[in-house]
Amino acid sequence: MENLTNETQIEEIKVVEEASKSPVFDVTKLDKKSLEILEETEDDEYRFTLDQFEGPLDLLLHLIKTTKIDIFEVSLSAITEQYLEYMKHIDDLDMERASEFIDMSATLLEIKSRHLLPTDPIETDEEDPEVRLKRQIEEYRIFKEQSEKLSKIEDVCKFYKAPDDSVGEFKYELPEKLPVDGLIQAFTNLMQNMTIKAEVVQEKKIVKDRFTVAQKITQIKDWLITKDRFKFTDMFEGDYSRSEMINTFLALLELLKRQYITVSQEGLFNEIDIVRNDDISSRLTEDTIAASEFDGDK
Amino acid sequence: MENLENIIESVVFVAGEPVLISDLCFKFDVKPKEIEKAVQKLNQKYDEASGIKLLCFNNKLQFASNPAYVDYVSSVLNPIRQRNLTKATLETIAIIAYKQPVTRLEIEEIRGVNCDYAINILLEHKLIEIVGRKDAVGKPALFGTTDEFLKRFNITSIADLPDYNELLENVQKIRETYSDSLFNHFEPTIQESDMDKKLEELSKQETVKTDEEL
Repeated sequence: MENLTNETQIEEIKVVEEASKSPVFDVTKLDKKSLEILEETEDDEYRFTLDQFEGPLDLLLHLIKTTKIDIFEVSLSAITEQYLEYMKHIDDLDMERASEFIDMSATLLEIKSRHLLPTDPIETDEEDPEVRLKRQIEEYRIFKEQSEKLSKIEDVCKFYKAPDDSVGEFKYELPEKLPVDGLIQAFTNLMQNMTIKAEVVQEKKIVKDRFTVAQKITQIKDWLITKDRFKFTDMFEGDYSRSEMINTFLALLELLKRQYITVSQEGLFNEIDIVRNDDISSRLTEDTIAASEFDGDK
Repeated sequence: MENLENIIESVVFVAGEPVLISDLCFKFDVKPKEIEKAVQKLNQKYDEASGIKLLCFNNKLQFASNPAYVDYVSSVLNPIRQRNLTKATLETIAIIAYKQPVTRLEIEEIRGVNCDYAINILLEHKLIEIVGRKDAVGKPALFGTTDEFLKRFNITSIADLPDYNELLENVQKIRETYSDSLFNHFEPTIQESDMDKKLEELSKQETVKTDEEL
């Protein structure tokens, strides 16, 4: 931790040197001014310790308040020095809380270092960390002040009476006079509603496929007995359905797999030429392809 | 309904626990406004000096002892007294109360510190509860305040929180002005008045055309 503060002190000096040459001079003025305020408070008044702050945002809020400058006017790099002053006593805190404060000091130093570098006007994609931090502080301030208001209305001095032993839950009960007629009426209404609903359901018809793969395989095989070469479109008559086409194509693939035929196509969407393989003429008649594999609907 | 306030008084007394106003409406077949009137009358009866107070929160009614006499009650009965919330828990519950439903991460972003302990304390005291899961990576729990919270802070509903609307607006403003500052300076190239003129011209042309056609 000491290393960190030492380095930053060196950096501080550099900042002052840089600042005196540049228009950021006002910042250092402010820096010294707020430092004086801090020193005064250190000498005369009660000195805050890190432990009394709820977190780094709380400490920053306190530091900004001591400068008596509006949060959006104040320069965070001016506050950094004072923040780091507090960090000297970081050892008093447990590791977890300390890490939160250290994390913030890194953010502050990043903001400060950005101020020293010339800004690139093109690089505006990222949100300015200073703006983001200020927004965070301001939002925190709102809720912190509100929590103070809440603490004023908090009331822990009320007591309540336990429910009487004989008290049960909220009672839901049926009407005292429930005539049988009414019950029947309610039931018939219910049933009627159900039948109306049932009627609304429309029948869907699923048409049985006229063509099956198995059927098409036999058809193609019949063709192969007489012809040794034909075209895909030859296999259809004038009016063919989509399902017929699909089944024929699947049958073709199956026969291709079993090496009954070879097919060729010159280009995409062109005509498919189907050629019978020579060595199968004997198989065609005797070998019955396990047609049962395909006749799922028989 | 006659004697409604007295009836309510009896019910709330015996119940001990909070009684839903809607349950009373349902049972006695009265409108919520009538209950409201009756509660007002009861509140006159249980005024500042009364030993009992009628609490109204989240559309529920409950009797409580008057906090003014806490010391006397304690001297005789020694009931369990809860401590006031610490700064950390107060900050946490303020964020939850105004921004609910809210995740642990969102609370921690505002406070800038780890809030596990504060949230656990609040859950233990039943001042907050898990009200749902956020539809984000890891499905983080969303926290909201409970009836216990309303009772403890003497408010009837969340909208009744001090400066509720004002605070939400302020928070919104900060987020808007500082998160999208890039876009705030954007100006449309065509002024609105110009647009109007163009539109007028166009509509004139159209009418001329239709006339010709006729």
